[in-house]
Order: sequence, then C-alpha cells, then structure tokens
Amino acid sequence: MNIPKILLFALLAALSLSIAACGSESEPEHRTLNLEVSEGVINLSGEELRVTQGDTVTVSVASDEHGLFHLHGYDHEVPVGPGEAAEFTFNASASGRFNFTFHPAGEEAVVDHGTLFESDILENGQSFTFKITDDLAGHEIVYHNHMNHEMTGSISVSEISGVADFVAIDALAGGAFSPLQVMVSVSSTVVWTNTVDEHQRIASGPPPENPDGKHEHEEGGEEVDLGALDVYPR
Amino acid sequence: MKAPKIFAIALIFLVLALLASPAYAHGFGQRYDLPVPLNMFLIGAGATVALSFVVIGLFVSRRGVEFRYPRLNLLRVSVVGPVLSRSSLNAAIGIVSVAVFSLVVVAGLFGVNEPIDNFAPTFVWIIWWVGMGYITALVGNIWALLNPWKITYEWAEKTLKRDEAKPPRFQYPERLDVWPAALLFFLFAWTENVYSGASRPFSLAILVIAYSVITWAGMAAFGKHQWLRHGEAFTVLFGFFSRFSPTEVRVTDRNLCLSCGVACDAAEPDCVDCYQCFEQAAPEHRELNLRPFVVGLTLHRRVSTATAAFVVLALATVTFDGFQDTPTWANIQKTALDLSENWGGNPLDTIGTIGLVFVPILFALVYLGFSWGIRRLGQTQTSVADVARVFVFSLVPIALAYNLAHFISLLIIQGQLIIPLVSDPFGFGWNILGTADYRLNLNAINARIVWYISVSAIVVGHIVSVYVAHIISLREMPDHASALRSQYPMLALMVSYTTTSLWIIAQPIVG
Repeated sequence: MNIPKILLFALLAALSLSIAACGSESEPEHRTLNLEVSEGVINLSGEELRVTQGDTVTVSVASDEHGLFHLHGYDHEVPVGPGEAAEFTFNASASGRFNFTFHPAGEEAVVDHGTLFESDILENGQSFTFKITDDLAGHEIVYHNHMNHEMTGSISVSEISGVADFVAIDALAGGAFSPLQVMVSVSSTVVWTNTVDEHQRIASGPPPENPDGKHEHEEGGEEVDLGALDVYPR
Repeated sequence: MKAPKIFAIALIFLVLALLASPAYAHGFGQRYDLPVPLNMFLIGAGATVALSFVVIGLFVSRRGVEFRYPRLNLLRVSVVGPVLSRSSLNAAIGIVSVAVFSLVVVAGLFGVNEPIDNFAPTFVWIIWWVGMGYITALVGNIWALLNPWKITYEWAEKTLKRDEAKPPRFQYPERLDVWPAALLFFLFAWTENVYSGASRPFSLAILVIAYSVITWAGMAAFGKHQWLRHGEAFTVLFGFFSRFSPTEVRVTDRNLCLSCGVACDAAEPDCVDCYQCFEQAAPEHRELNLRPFVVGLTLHRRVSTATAAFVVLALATVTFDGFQDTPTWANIQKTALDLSENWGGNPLDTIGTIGLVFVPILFALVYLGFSWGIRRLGQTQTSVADVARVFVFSLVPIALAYNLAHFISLLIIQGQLIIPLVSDPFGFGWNILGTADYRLNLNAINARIVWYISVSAIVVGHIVSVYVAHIISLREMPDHASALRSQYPMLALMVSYTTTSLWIIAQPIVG
C-alpha cells in the first residue's frame, strides 16, 4: 500500500469519526410547546420549535379562530378555537421536520341546517347512524339537536384514514352530547343514541337561531402553513 | 403510414390532460427531512476538497491505465446461471411488469382521484421513478428487463407474427440521435417538477397513456431497438445510470457486435450493454457479468452531442428538483410572483418552467466553460465540444449521488404508502391483502442516518467523478503531464457541483 492510499483511508476514517461524534447524550425530557395562532401566524411564547427524539412533547394550541390544527407526520389533529387551548401529548419517537398546518374552519364548518343529515325523532334508546362520505374529508361538521337548540356538537373529519371506524355519541340528560367533539375519518360510522326520555332529532349544521353561523373568516378553508416542529435525532 | 397521425393524437391527448386537471400542490410525497446541520455540511465540503487532492496525488504516481477489469460471468455460475438463463423467468417477469403497468393506468383512470388514496402516484413517483433510479445505478439495468412498453411491443409482434428481421417502416434519421429521448425526458422532468397535476391520479394516467402511445408508435415506425435507444427516455437515462452499476451484459461475438447496431461498436473487442446484440447472440456468446462499480462509465471513447446534452440535462434537473425545495427558490418565486400579476395562466408554473429551462442551460454553459479550460491546460488539439463529449460521463456519479441523497428518506418513508395501496389500489376501501390499514413508520430511517448517507454519498460520488475524469484524461490527453494539468479545471467544476449539492441538502425544505 502506498502512502496516498493510507492517507485516503485515514481521511475517510477521520471523516466518519467526526460525523459520528455529533450525537447528543441528554436524557429524554418532557417538553411543553405553547403555540398561539392568530390570523394564520404562529406566535411562540419564547419556545423554540425544536425537541429531541424520545422527548415527550405536549403541544398546547390557542387560536383566535376556529379550525383544525394539524401536526403532519405524527398526524395529530385537534380542533381549536377562541377561548379554549387545545392540547395533545405524544412521544417524539421519529426524527425529522414535521409541518404544522391550520385549516381555518371558515365555510367548511358551515354546513347548512340539515343538508348533510337529519334523523327521525329519536325516543329513549333509539339510535341514528350517519356514515362519513368521501367529500367530507378535512371538514368540520357541526350538528345540533333540533328539539333543543342548546345541544350542539361537532365532528372533525380527518384527512387521514383509519382514525376511528365507529364512534358512538350519547345524547345525555341536561342537554349535552357526549363526547362533545369527535374525530373521525372518511367512511367512519357515527351513531347517536338517545339516552334520555326527551325526544331528540339530530340534524347537521348549526341550530337555526344562528342561521348563517359563519365565522368572521369567510374565505377560509385554505390550509395555512404555520411552521414546523424539528425533532432532532438523539 | 400513420406514425405522424398517432403523434398528433398523442399530442392532443397530452394538451387535453394538461388543461383538464385542477391545480394541486407541486410534487408528490410529503417530506420530513431535517436539513443537514452546518457542521456536517462543513465537514462534507472540507472532505470534498481534501480528498480531491488525495485522488490527484494517487494519480501523480501512476502511469498508464488498465483497461481490463475483473469480471464474473453469472451465467456460468452453478445454480444462479441456469436460473438466469431460463426463458420462463423472463416471461414471468414480463407478465408481472405489464400487470403492474396496467394497474397504474387503470387505477389512475378509474380509481379515486386523490393522490394518496390511489396506487398510481405513489407507484410512479416514488417506487418506480426513485426506486428504479437506485436499482439501475446500484445493481444493474433491470429496466431493460422490466420495460413494459418493450414487453408489450414484443407480445404484439409475436401475436401479429411480424418478422423481426423485416426492416422497419421508416429508417431512423441518424442525425436525430438521442434528441427525441432528451426532449421527452425534459417533458417528464417538467411534469415531475413543475406541472401541478402530476400527483393527480387521473392526469398522471393520461400522461402515461400519451407516453405509451408515443413509445409504441416510435417502435412501430422505426423498429424496436432503434426507438428504445434513441427515443425511449427511460431506456436511455437508466442506461446512463447502469454504467455506474456492477453488472453488464456482454456479447463476445465480434462479428455480431460489428453488425448488430451502431451504438454497439465500442472500443472494446466485445460489445457491452448492447441489448440488441445480446438478443441476437447465441447463448455461448452471452455473458452477464459482475464487474467493479463505475468502470462502465469509462468504456466509451466519445459520445454524441445529444448524449452529452442529455447527461447534463439529467444532472441539472435532479439538482433543480432539490433546489425547488429551498427557501432561496421560495424567495425567487415570491419576487417573480410580485412581478407577474398580469401574466396569464398559473404564474407558479410559469416560473417553474423558466427555472427548468434556465438551470440546464446554465449547467451546460458552465460545463462548456470548464471544458474550454481543460482544453487550454491539457494542450490538446480537440475542440471544446469534443472535450465536453469525452468527459461527460464523469458527471454521472455526481448526479447519482445527489439523487440518492435527495430521495433516500422519501423512498424509505413515503415509499411505505405502497403497502396499504396494494391492498386498495383504487381507493375504494378494499383490503385485498389485509394491509390496507398499515400506517407509515416514520422511524424507518432516522434523520441522523439520512444525514450520514446523504453527506457520504455526495462526497463519495464526487471522488468517483474525479476518478473517472482522471481515467478519461489519461486515455485522451497526449501525455501524463497534460492529463494531470487538464484535471484542475475539472476538479474545480466538480468541487462546485458537489458543494452545490451539499448546500441544497443543508437547506430547510419549504413548501
């Protein structure tokens, strides 16, 4: 072996060593990221959107606008809106750069009264079933009880398939649906069951007192890029 | 007779397909790449420069070039050989390939018109386009075996009992060379990088059909091998890639090599990677060899202008593909958008098209500029164009390395989409193989591994390119001293290409 060859191998070895030395040795931590979305822009309250692989990450999202907050890759989607910070926690097991997007509810949430579905009158123990169709992917469907306009709820239809095949919603005493908000995907089946003696009629759309039911953000529906979460390899 | 008519119909189809499809986010396949960190970028760039000098150093002490390289004929190896020679194996591969090809078209036409719910986009853009590029470069030219247009054409010939020896309807005009393939590849690259409907299953299927019509018509008009060698963009492109690979087909019958086709007349006594000859050769003259990597790139003395242009085009388009994801490109787009308010059509497509035309021209000019430098320093009598044609294959490793670096995580992560899609190719909610509920494993490849692979691939690709250029210069230049001198411009060119590649993978991906 002549000298240049030895030099070549030495250089290659040095290269691979120096690259391998870049790893960090810290322990996994629990990180909380507080995100505020206002007018389609993310405000970080002093947080850096960078975690290390293996960390447990809690993302808390507050928004001045109704819509769906979506972390791509890990595929967490939460409905957010004014007044309620939505939260989800996950284990950052995969490294990479994962986009955050926001789907403003806008017109998507506004499904006119009863256009999607409307049940017969349900007595105690009776159920009504609705199967989510393809065209609803990415939409938020609000619905209400036509016999009691105080009772409303919403269904977020994820664009990812297989979120939930079957979701049961109970109409409880005291005028509430349980759970209030559900997450489904295309071809999921949603079943409402009346568990109280009052008659109920489930209908899509917001209750009629608020017939327009529109949010300020009328042109909504376009996905807004908010930024990305970097999960650095450990 | 009707070849021009068929072309016209194909063209109309193409235009219709382009007009009919709605705008959609460009490209296909979501990427989760973390940009390569600064320190690795610097290490990579430093190693590039340092190792270049090491390679130069290796050559200073070396005289003459060995043109022989070790080969192992797989057809003579026990067990493997008889299996590979089986014609039933070939037939089975053909049937599978055509079945998959048909599935792509049928799923695109009749399946759900949503990119991730339909088999066609994932298969075409990730499994086939990225995967085939890797395999042809790292294993061998399996495209010659799998090409569904070739296989279906052969079936048709057999069914219609057409005599293969009969001369084709039209003589292929030699001056057209591989320009048709280069043009079709440019259109393909435009579809991939600019056209906003490329990920839509329906428009994709229409494009596949249009390309199929062109290819079948070309083979019918000019003869199967003539068109494959000059007009079938992927046969030509994957042919370039497979020169890097460690396998070759070789025909040892010199007389046949001289008569079976123009391109087969290489410097070697045998003909290498000439499929026309291989088909005609008697079994005892056929070899399927294992060989060292890279040597295939040094076999041909001088390629045609069209071939050289195609190689530069391929290098430029893969680079542009990556560049499109950088914030720099996003800024260019933004600036152009502000200026473009009164342009018609989709301004982003217009900007992309300009970029896709401009980048290859820029690359070609840069390459010609450095070829001029090589000529000056090497003191050869040949023209600048000749120098460019002689050295062009030394650029292939850089293009391959960048391609590998750019697509590795896309292939490994988004490529998994094919697992649920084989169970439900049309998006109708089927579950044929029970894999429809498979969810992507984002952990299939770690970001750190991606960085290592990307940076090492680019640095190694660079070294290999420098090496190939050296082999060529030792062969072409009048003496050793001028061969060495001629390599300084080449080295500068390659260092700049390589740092560009590294810079792109160190950029955050946007859009």
